[in-house]
Amino acid sequence: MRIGEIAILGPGNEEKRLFIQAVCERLELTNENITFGRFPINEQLVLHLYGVALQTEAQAVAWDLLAKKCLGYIVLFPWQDAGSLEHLKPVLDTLTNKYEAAMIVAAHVPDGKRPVPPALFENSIGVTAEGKLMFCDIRRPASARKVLLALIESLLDKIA
Amino acid sequence: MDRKKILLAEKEPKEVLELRKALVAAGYEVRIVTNGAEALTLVESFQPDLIFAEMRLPQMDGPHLLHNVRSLPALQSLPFILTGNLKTLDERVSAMKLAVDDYLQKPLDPEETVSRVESLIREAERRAATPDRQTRGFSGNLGEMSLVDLLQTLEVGNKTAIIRLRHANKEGSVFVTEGQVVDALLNDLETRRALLRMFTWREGTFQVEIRPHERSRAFTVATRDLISEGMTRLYRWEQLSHQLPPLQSVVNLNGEAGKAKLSEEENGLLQLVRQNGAKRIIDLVEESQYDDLRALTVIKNLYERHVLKALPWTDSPLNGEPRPALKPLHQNGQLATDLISGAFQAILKKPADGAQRQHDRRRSDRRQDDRRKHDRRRDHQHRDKNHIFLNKSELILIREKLSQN
Repeated sequence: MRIGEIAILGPGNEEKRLFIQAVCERLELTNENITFGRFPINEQLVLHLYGVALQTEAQAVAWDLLAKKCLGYIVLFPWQDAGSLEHLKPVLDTLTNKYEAAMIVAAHVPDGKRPVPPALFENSIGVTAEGKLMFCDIRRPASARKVLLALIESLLDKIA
Repeated sequence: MDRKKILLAEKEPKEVLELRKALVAAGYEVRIVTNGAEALTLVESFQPDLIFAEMRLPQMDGPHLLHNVRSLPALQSLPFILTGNLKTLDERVSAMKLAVDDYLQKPLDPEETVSRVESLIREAERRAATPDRQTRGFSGNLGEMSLVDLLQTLEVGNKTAIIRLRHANKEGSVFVTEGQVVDALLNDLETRRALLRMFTWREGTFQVEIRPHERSRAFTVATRDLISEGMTRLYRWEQLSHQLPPLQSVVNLNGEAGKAKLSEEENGLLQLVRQNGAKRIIDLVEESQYDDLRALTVIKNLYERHVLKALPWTDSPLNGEPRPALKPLHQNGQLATDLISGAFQAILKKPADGAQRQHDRRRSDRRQDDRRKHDRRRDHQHRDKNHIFLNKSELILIREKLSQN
């Protein structure tokens, strides 16, 4: 069995939990430190999605272990609270500078409250050499999977 | 339909008999060779759609065969799978780092291998059908994002792109290289004037193509200064617009026009109306020989002095034209574009100017080097970079699965 691991970061555990649930349909594990879901591709291949909190030292160790082997990162934040990204800046700096990891910054916009043109909502905009910004509704599986798809596209571009 | 061709390079053909059967059953034409040199010779005459090669081939091993195939321009994107029996994870990671589409560990599962082959060939066909795959971008309405907003966004993201703007029946382009405006085109206007005119477009559409272009730098002014000028002009333009009927309104000479004492500028502008009759305000601006803001200021003065009068919509000879667009969308009292700009600012450090930016980059590089050295000293196993631990074909399978849902 081949496993691809993807880390979901963000200021709120609830957003990460909803996102993983939307993609994976069922959560394998959820507690205050970690949310974990499996997304099977076929009998030989599965994606593991980890929503990791970053606040405590123990969590930081878990994060360090995960960071070395995961495919890429999805950074989730609520669009209404763009300031919450400030808390993640050191993490984003580490990811982009140290690991040059593929990254998608996903702004959660609840359905019906789209603050931006649909074209921007649906498409992603490059924010760094490794990262993109896109909008999604984490409660909608199709929308959450689009974010994951963008990350996979980004990985394919890296190895093209 | 022609069958797709697979070239199998394997020193022990017996080992791939099952795979050959599975590939033939799946509709592929398969040719087996037993060494790398023979495989390379056959590439030209057989013209395979995919090469499947063992790592340790006689005469020319798999990685060398791959290197030689990739050095041929026409075959740079030919799907290539390496297979072998590598013992350690490091060896496998090294194999994946080659410019190979997939590495498969022996013993091979024929069914799984056929699935990988199919997805790689499909991907190659998809890429061939969309050669400009690198072109990315977004589009929208100028009422929601003006040229100023677009340039700010591209500057913050340090992007190379072409912005295409459509306004009324006009189309202009702005070329941006690494966040800096390098050229602008609009009819036969001079570069700077073309850009300044497009800054005031608040109706119409835009399309941003994030891709390289070949325009060289026609602007000597820094983009930040251009944006600053654009914002000032946009502000003044909107102030003037609020003192006039909608710019799509048609104006004509008032009866009082003959009695008014007019300046040379005013006479020059009115000449356009005298010659051609009623005109839309926006057309007057664009056809005048003056700078847009100057022209609009002159029109406002003429309108306030009743030298020009606006025709009712129903009397307009141009009433087939669309009515003015709605005001830009707002949310929570903030422009959508402000929100976007805010998010970008939150994500990215604001780039510094010229020398300062270079200095910051050098300092950041030094810090990064120091961190890497420190990490290596601390733990030899620690990696500097995140590796992609899945093969290309596995990523393609994931993409296909996600696209289905």
